[in-house]
Amino acid sequence: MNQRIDDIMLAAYVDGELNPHQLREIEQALAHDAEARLKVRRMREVSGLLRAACAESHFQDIPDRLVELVHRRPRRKIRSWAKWAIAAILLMAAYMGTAFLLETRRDSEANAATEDLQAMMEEIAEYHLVYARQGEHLAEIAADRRGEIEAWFGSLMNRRLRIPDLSAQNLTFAGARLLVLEGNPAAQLFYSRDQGEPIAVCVTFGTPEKIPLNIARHRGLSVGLWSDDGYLHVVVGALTEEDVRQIAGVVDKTLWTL
Amino acid sequence: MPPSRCPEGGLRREVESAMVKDYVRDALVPLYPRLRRFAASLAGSVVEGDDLVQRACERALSRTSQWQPGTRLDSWLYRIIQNTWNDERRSIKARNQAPIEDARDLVGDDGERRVVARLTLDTVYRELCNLSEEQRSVLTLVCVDGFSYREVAEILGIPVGTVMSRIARGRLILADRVEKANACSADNILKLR
Repeated sequence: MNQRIDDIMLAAYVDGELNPHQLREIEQALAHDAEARLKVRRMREVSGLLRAACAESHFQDIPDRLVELVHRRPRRKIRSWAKWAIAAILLMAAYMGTAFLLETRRDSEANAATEDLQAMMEEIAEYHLVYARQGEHLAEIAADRRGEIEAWFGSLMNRRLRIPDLSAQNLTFAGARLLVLEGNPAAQLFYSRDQGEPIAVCVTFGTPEKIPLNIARHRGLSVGLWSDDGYLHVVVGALTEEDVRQIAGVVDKTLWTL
Repeated sequence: MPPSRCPEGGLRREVESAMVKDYVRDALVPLYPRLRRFAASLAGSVVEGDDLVQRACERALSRTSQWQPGTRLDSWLYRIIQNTWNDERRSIKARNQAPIEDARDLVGDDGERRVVARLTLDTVYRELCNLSEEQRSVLTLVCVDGFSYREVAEILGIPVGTVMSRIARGRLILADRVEKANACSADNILKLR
């Protein structure tokens, strides 16, 4: 056999690893070398047998422990909604220059949520540090970058969104901020008004269950939360219950309408 | 003057990191059969291979930021399996490996068995398991998974030339052993008659 056409070159030929020049050279040599042709045939046969013997179908019986591994996702349960409201309230409080601690409405999972609550406090504290760096700026992204905000948040939420027009409620879009809660992106839209402090509309990933609008008072602020189609929505601000209902109605109808 | 800190950029990175992690997590399940196959070729048994896959995937999920979206996720995971195996092998050098179980006894596929006789496939798999670990992993990656030599070199952390020599030698050794085993089987069948 030609010195250059050794087993390594033959294997590379079988595996399609040769460049055109090497390929021509090997094929010319094979035409005159029965031993090399036999080796090529054996290599191809054993490759085919290996593929059959090691087919993916033989390894499809995935152990439960491996399946469970990928299901250990950050929880997106109802407890996180309370966190959301608290986060939003804290943001508003920070904006108004008021420092206060939080009080949460404890749901039926309150005991189990104690650890989560601590983690949430930590998380909110982290965000508060971020906000504190913004000085007097309400939003990170100004309202005049509306198109960019919609595109960016839409990509983060895996769904096209449109910043709701709340002019009928005497609210003017003032900008946006990105939050991260439990590893999920959370879009926060700010609206200013002639009288009163700004309000915020927030959206993040929720649970598949549909939850109707739920309005509660916290430290003088109204917080409205509802979940639909896998997304959690929050309206927060110094608003009447009727204000929250109207704003929530517009947001619910127009946020995802594109 | 150092650049000013950009909280928005930091948050964006955090969000992107979380999304990448979700992506990797979702992609793991369909990749499991191939990861298990590769891990079994390294560890010497399907059961130990599954242990290896689990530890490697836990490691991968804690390091998703190291995976570059747009590159091959399977290659990245194979590399982590290989590195995890290398780490463990260093710490348990003297471990005696149990022979690889016949994966086809764990799960069957009658359709494929109709194409190639089960006896032959069993022989091929058994003889694959009898090869050295280095030859097993290279043969699995090239012949079964279809990775290029260069990709295999990156996954295993060895030179391309080493991949080439291992694949050539391993494949011919396997062919020899399968042919011999089949010849013995044929002789035995004739004797029984």
